[in-house]
Formats: sequence, C-alpha cells, structure tokens
Amino acid sequence: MKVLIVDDASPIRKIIGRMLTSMHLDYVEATHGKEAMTQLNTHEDIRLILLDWHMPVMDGMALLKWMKTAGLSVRPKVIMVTTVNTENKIESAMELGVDEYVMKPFTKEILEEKIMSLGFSGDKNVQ
Amino acid sequence: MVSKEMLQFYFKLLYQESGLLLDESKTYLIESRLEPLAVQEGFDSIEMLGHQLMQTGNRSLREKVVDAMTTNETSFFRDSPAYSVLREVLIPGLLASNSASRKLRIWSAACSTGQEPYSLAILLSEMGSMLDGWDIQIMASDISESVLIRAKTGVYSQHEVQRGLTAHQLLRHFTQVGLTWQIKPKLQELVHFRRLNLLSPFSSIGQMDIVFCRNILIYLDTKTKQNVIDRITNLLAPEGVLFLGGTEGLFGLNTSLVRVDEKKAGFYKIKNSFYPDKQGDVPDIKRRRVCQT
Repeated sequence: MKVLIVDDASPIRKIIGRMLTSMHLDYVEATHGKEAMTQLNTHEDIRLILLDWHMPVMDGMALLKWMKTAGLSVRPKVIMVTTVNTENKIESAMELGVDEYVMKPFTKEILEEKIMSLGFSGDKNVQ
Repeated sequence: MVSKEMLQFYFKLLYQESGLLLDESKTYLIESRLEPLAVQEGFDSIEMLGHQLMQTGNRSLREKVVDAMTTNETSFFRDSPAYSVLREVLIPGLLASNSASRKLRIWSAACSTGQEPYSLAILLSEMGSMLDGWDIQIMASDISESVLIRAKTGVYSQHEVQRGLTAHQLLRHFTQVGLTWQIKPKLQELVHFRRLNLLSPFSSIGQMDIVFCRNILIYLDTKTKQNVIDRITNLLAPEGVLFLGGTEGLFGLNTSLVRVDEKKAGFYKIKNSFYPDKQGDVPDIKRRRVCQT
C-alpha cells in the first residue's frame, strides 16, 4: 500500500515524506490534482492521500470531485493538509468525502496522529 | 545558575503549597518554568524572585510560582484507551448501577486548561439518547487559578484543537471565533470549574462515579500520595472508577483500590465492588445492565 502526497510546495512534500518514512509507510508524490489523477491511475495500491487545497493546474477540491466519479477500485482515505482553516471551508471539504483535516502549520505529532487514527501505521496498514 | 540554597527554598515552597516533590535532578524544570515568570514579574533572575518571596512571603507571587510549576501540557482525549473503556464498558455499567438516582458525577481533579473535562463532556454527548433525562455533572478542578480562567473560556488555538479531536468532532462541538475555536455552550454548561488544592480537604464535593486524577501522583512523595488516594477513595461511589496517568500506579500504597485492565486502559475500583478485579471479566457489568433494563 502507498500514500500519495499532493502538494505544490516541495519543502512540504519533503517534510511529509520524511515523516511517512519514519512511520514505515511507502509514498509517491504529485504537485497538483492532475498529477495526482495520473498517480492514482498508475498505482492501484494508494490507500491514503495527503491533499493540499490550493495548487496550480488542479486544486484539491477538484481532485475530490473527480474521485467521486472516477470509479476507483478502492477509494483511498483522504487527509486534507492545508492552510485553509475556516469552519465553512472545512465543512465543504468534509462533505466531499475528506476523512480528516489538518490545518497548516502542523506538527509531526498532529499529522502522525491523524494518519494513525485512520488505521495506517507501518506494517499494520488497513488495506 | 540558581544557587543550591535557592533551589532548596523553591523545593520547600512547592512541597508546602502543592505537595510537589522536586530534587536537584529537576533543576532544569525550575529554571525553564520560573525564568519566564521572573521576567514577567520584573525580576532579573529566579534568584531575585526567590529573595523577594523570602523577604515578603508575597501570597500572590507564591501562587504564581506554584501555577508555573504545576501547569502541565495536555490535549483532548489524551490517553485515548481511557475514553474508549469509559464509553464501551464503564459508563454503561454506571448507568445500570445508578438507574434509580439517574445521576452521574465525574471529577477531573487536575483539569489544567480544560481539555480533559471537555473531552469527557464530548464523550457523554456522543453517547446519544442513553443519557437522556440523566443529571450529569462534570466537576473540574485545578490548583492553578490562571489555568482555570483559561479553561472556563473554552477557547482553544488551532494547534490545540488539532491534538486529539477528529475533524468531525471539531465541527460538531466547536465554533470558530477568529483564529480560535470555542467549545459549544451546551457542553460548556456540563462542566463546573473550581479551584482546589488536593492537599486541602475536598470531601465536600460529594460522591463521585468517575475520577480522573492523572499525572499528579508522580510528583508527590509516598506519604502525600497515600493521603490524596485515601481521600479520593472515600468519595468514590461503590461502583466508581479512578483513572490515573499512564505512568502512574498505586505501588507501595496501602489502599482498598484494585487495578483493572480493560480495552488497553488501566483504572482502579474499590475492592469487592461489583466490578470484578479479575482482568477482562466484564460480564458482571453486562449482566447487571441486562437485569435492570
């Protein structure tokens, strides 16, 4: 199983990537929603997406809408990881099927806790 | 660098006021907690702050020192197994045993900035209709006035609400106010805050069904620990439960409490209460519940 990091900021992808490695989780990256679509079509074992909101080309909300109709064999869990932090925006993301929400800036502990709360931790992943 | 004499002065003051037992291995704790206070109060150093306390015995300054040393970082649903066992086993059991009075009394004995009692309020509110018509009170106490003032507001930073709460819980139980999040009034009303020093008498708070007294005992010497545990035991309802911190225990104490491990959580019950002291043997609670419903 893999995690897909979708964020246009390479330092954020690096930080999250290091964290996932420390949790023994394998990951792939995308810099925007369109690349994420390609990754999802390529890697059928993606089970978790860490998704930014604002990105060029295709944003996180557009990717969520695409996922609803894409007919993916397994719908990955989604944690939004974004600077967007208003109540109504969080609500609208949750309505589109986001499972958890992390507001930037975040600490390693916070993201780790959210990932684990969805059942992902190293060798004991939910498939 | 704080002198040995000054350290001894602080150790004595903290022991007298709060039972907090420190030694020279905790010098860093004194420095990291009291330096900001010294600056805030206009002193050049912890040493100068100490001299002022020695000379004047300034009550309010003494309290500020105790506040600074006893305030602990906390988070919502800290040690989550404790909340799981409450939801799945203990509260259903207590609802059965208290079905005549339909009262449930909970005490968060060192509530710090309020995340613990509000987590309990959230847990109860998520248990749905089974608590309809019940008289529920959560008492939350702390030795520190300043943390109680914060706790009462029910306002938390973005960072604080992301620790322990799910996004669904955040949206359901909080309202965003600018950059902060305010717990909803219905939950806030369940929690009654009061200042309380565990070294002082507290029997007047009445009988309790659930007591959370976490991460305090580790700072107390055996004699003080015994005293606090005896008095908590005295106000535990016969079927009541006591939760301590994850690294705390009652080893070396003479007590009628027994440890029960259930659903990855450890808690304490009064020996010979209906909950068996045999690990994992829950059916007694279930039988009782079935009989009374």
